[in-house]
Order: sequence, then C-alpha cells, then structure tokens
Amino acid sequence: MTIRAKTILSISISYISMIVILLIISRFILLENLNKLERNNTRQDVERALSAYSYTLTDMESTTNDWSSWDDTYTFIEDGNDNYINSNLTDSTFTNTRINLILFINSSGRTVFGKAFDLNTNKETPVPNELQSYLSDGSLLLMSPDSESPISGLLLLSENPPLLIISRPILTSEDKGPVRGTLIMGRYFDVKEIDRLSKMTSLSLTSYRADEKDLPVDIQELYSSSTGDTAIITRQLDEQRNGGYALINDIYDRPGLIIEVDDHRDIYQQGIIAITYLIVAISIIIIAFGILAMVLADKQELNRLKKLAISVENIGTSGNLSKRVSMTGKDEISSLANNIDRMLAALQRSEDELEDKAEHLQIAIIEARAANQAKSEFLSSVSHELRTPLTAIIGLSQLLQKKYYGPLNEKQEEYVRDILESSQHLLSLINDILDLSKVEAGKLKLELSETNIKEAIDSSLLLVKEDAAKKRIGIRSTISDEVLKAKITADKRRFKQIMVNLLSNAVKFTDLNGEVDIEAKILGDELIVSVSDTGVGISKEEQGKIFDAFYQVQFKLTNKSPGTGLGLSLVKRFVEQHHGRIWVESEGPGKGSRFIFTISLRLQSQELKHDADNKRLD
Amino acid sequence: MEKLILIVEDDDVTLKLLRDILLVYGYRVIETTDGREAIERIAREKPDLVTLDIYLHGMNGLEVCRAIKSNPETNKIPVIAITASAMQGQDQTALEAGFDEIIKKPFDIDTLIKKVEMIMSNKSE
Repeated sequence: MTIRAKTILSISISYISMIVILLIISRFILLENLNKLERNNTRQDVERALSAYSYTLTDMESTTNDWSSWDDTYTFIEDGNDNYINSNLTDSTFTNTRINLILFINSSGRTVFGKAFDLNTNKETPVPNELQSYLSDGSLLLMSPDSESPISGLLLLSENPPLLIISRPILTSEDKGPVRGTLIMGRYFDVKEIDRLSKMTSLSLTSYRADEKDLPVDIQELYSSSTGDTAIITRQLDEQRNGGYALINDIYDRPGLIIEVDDHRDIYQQGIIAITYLIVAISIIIIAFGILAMVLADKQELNRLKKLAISVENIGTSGNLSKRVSMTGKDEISSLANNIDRMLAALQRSEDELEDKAEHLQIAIIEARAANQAKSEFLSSVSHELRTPLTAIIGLSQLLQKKYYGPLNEKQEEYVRDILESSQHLLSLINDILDLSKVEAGKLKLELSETNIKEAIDSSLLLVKEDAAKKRIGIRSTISDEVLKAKITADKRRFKQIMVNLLSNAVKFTDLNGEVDIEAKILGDELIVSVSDTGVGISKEEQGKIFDAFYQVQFKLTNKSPGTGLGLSLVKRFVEQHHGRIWVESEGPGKGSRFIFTISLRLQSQELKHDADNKRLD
Repeated sequence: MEKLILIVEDDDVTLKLLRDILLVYGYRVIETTDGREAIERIAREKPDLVTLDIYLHGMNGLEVCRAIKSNPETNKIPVIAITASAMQGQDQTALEAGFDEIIKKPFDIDTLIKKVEMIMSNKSE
C-alpha cells in the first residue's frame, strides 16, 4: 500500500467516523427529543379535544337549564297546553340549539311531550323506542323529589349513534320545587358532531364505540389501562402520524367512546429534513476539505516522495550509480534525498575500487594460468627431453651388462651396475616431478574403478620383496574380512603407488631382521590402511614436515638414505584425491614408525571424467 | 630369412641402441629418421615390423601410423610406438591411431624383445 493510499484511507476513515457519530447524535438524541415533544403535543391535543367535548356538554346543560327552570315549563308539565308546544317546541328550536331530542316526563314517569328531529334532513323523526328502557321507574335519568341531581353525559344506544344526553329536574324560574318532572335533551354524537368538534379544535378527530368488536390494538390497550381519571395514551402510527387516544365513559361510568386525535408529525418531519440538510452540508464540507488536504499533501509531500521513490528505483534497475536523486527543500524528504545521494556516491567509489581490483585480479589470473600452462608444458617437454638420453644410458648399459660384446672385468661390471642404479633413481625422480606437477596443475585425475585391495597390496609387496629379503625383514599383512568382502572404489594404479612408496620407505629405513606390518580394515565409511615398521623412527618435529615436497632431499643429504624426496608428498596428494587423510605416528627416533592413511568408501567410478581428460590432452 | 624391422627414430643414440639390440637378437634392420621416407620405404620394402618414434620432427609418429594403417597394402604390418611421453591419455590416442603396441622410454631390453617377438608370432599365425 502506498503512503498516498494510506493517507487517503486514514482521512476517509476519520471523516466517515465523524459523519457516523453525527448521525448517531442526531438520531438518538435530537430525534428522540423531537419525538417526546411531539408525543406531548399530541397529548395536549387530546386534552383539547376532551375540553371541546366537555364544553359541548356544558353548553347543552345551560340550554337545558334555560328550559327546565322556567315557570312556563313548570306549568306545561302539569297541563300540557298546546300553546307552549306551538310557541316553544317548533322545528327552529331544534335547528338553533342543534338538539335532536326533547322529552318532557312528569313526576309519575309519563312522557308529557317528546319530539325527535333529524338535523340533517330538518324533519321530525319518531323518538327511538330503545330510549324507553332507560326511562323506566327509578332510572338514573328520571328526576324526582328524592333524586333531583342533574345528569349530563353519554348514552350508548344500540340502533342509533351515541347520544349526548342532559337530564334536569323541572323547577320554577327561581329554581324552586317541588320537582314536577324531568326535562331530557339529547344530541347525537354522530359524524357531523365530531366534524364540528374537529373544526372547533382544528384537530383531526375520530371516535370509536368502546363496545365495537374490531377495535384497533392500541384502543384495546387504552381500554385496559383506563383507570381513575381520563387516561390519555399516545402512539407513533408511522413516520408521518402520531395518534392520541382518550376514553369517555357513559353516564353509568362504563366505557363509552374512544376519541382519537390523528396528528401529523410536522416537528419530526422538519427535524428529519433539518438533520439531512445538516449531514449533507457537513459531508460536502468534509469531502471538500479532504480533497483540499490531499491536494496539498500531494503537492507538498506525497508527490515528492513518489518522485524520490521513482528516482531510487530507476537507479536500482539501471544500476547506474552515477545518477543522483537531488531534491530541493529543507524538510525530511530533501534531507533523505541528500543522504541517498551521499550513499550513492560512496557506493560508486567502492564499485570503482572493486572494478579496479577485479581487473587486476583478472590480469593476475590470466598471468597465473599462462604461467601454469607454461610450467606444465615445460615439465612435459623436460620430461621428454630427459627420458630420451636416459633411454640410451639405460639401454646401452644393459647391453654392456648382458656382455653381448665381450666380457667385463669386475670393476667395469660394478660401474655398469652403478650406472643402471643411478639411472633408475634419476628416472623415478623425473616421474615423481612430473606426477607432482600434474597433481598441482589439477591435471592428474583419478581413474576410479572397483579395486581389490588385497590384490593391490600383494602386488605392491612383490616390488619390495627383494629388498626386504636382502635385509631379512619380515613382512606381515593383516586384511580384515570386511575389507575382503567390501566393494571398494579407488584408482588402482595410485593406490599401488601409495602402498609401494610406504612399503619401500618402511623397508628402506628398517635395519636388518626388522619387521614391517600391513593392516587394512574398515571403520565407518573409510578404509584404513597402516604400514608399521621397526625402523629408525621419526622425531616429533619431522613428523609435521615429511609430507612437504622436497623435504626428504635435505633429509637424504644428512642421512645418506636413498629417495627422491617427493614420494610422501605425492602419496599425501593421492590420498587426498581419494578424500582421505594420511598421518604418521612414531615414538621418536629409533622406535619405528607407523604410517596410516584412509580412503573414503563413498567414491564412485567416473568413466566420463576420464574420457574428458583424454580429449583435453590430445 | 630373418625378419625385417624398420626403425623410425630421429634421435641418433636411441636409433643406435634399437639397431644394436635388434641386431644382437638376430633381426635384419633398416632405418630412417624421417616420417615421409618411412611411409615410402614401408610400401616399397614391406618390413615385418615397424618401430616408430611418436615425437618425430616434421611428420609425427601418429600421422605416419595413420598413413600406414590406411594403406591396404601396408595396414597388416604391425607398428610399435616408442614414446618418451608419460602423459595420461597418450596411450589411448596412440591405440586409436592404429599402433599395435606401445613401449615407453626408457625401456628394458628384455621387455622390448619380448613384445617384439610376441607381435611377430601373432602376425605370422
């Protein structure tokens, strides 16, 4: 992820968090408060509706009172004169007072006059029969000297709309008794009346009969919670509307009507709109500031960082250390750029130095190879040049020794023998030098094949047998069963060369009647061969030197013992080519010595390598 | 008639040595120091055996041997290489050039004679 992407991401995350927090605050605090406010509002509206209802009843009470406490009425209930009816109980009386029903009942319970009127059609209608059941003797609605408290309230009829009913005792104009009967006035609390209440209160009102079967759930709850005073509950109907409900009991204090106020949630709607505007405005501001911040960051830092990164990458891919990333300014980025430039300069210096060194090394390697090649060629040609005269010396001496051209005297014969011996020594010296140079030039490769160790040791023994016999030296060889059974890969010729060298040394440095022991065994993944003698031994100091080339040349000069001085050094190299080690153990001069060498059993025949070797020599 | 051996050798003393040894052992000997002359004389005189020095000046022994062995009239004549080289791989190269036997300098008289006799008896069979 680039720094730019990270910056954008972190800015975005912080801005989104801000918006989310704003949303939560507005949603759960502001809107919740608005909701509460609205519910209170609705509650107040319900109270207003209830007030309007009470006012209607009070109004009807006062109208009824005007009629019931009136001397004319007091008289009329006794005599039922038509004059009273004709002048007072006309259709206009009903329309003016918006009364649907008037009943005059005397103290004996007889209805002196009753009239019902339909305000919608402006026509007289019969008094509903079902009213009779509420007007029997002892009814709450009937006034008597014993019970003259006026009644006002609601009466639920089964075949007609609910009735607002006022019942008052008929008295004189001075409110004097005795009570001569009851005046009942009623008004249907129908759709029209509710509409009138709605208009009066500027509320959207609906009413439900409490005995309806299919009441909305919220009304049921209201019904069950209606205890004591008029209970008001509010409900959030949907996003747009709140409902407020109140229960009105009838004159028998039984649940009568449920008034519903349907309020528009104007405050809440306005709140939502306001919050939406607020969030949109804040988001726009935040995004604008975010973009501005990115642009500034890009210009100030990110672009420069990117430029620096591209410069460094270009240098990395091209490998051109002479380039620089130079950058203006005085901040961390330009200081980083300066440091990179300084590092590049240092790298360039060391690269130049390395190139110089590599060049010198290359030249040295070429020179060394040429020198080595020259050495090999020189040795090869010297070997050839030396062999040719040596061939003549040996051959001609042999011809003399064989006496084809006549007998030799004793001295001549001795000299011929000396010439031959010296020639043989010279020849082995030449061979050893050649071998050593080949080993050092890496040109002497092993010819690995499965080698019978016992046969190789026996045939090596043949070569020293004569010398050993002359000095009456006993040679004993112990070869373990494991060695006899194992299939061992080695260079037969070199193995024999190792054995012959060690054995001839052992015989050479062992006095008359001495002993030479050969032992071969397997330990781990190594063949271990040791050659022990009872000879002159080797001092501790010399033990470390005898494997060095030409060491024995000096040794030979001081001790006058024959040898090329190269034998052990060659043996050591042959052993190492077999992935082995060679060392010598000796208690010191005069106490004999023991040469031990190992050969790895992990070697494998390498015919291919041998072939490649031949081709190179052609 | 004794067997005829051609010695091709450009070192005078070695030539004298080979000649004396072979004469002592009763062979007839002809000799040359030059490779081209050797090829001509082998074609003309048909010796029973050739000893050929590998390091000849001018045309070397390997080339001479290849010429002898590629001529159907002379390719049955055995050729012994006499070489002073001790380099590995040299033997293989010589055998590939067609030499029947390789004798390294310096050689032992008995060994030389043994090999010469053995090759001749093989060829005459």
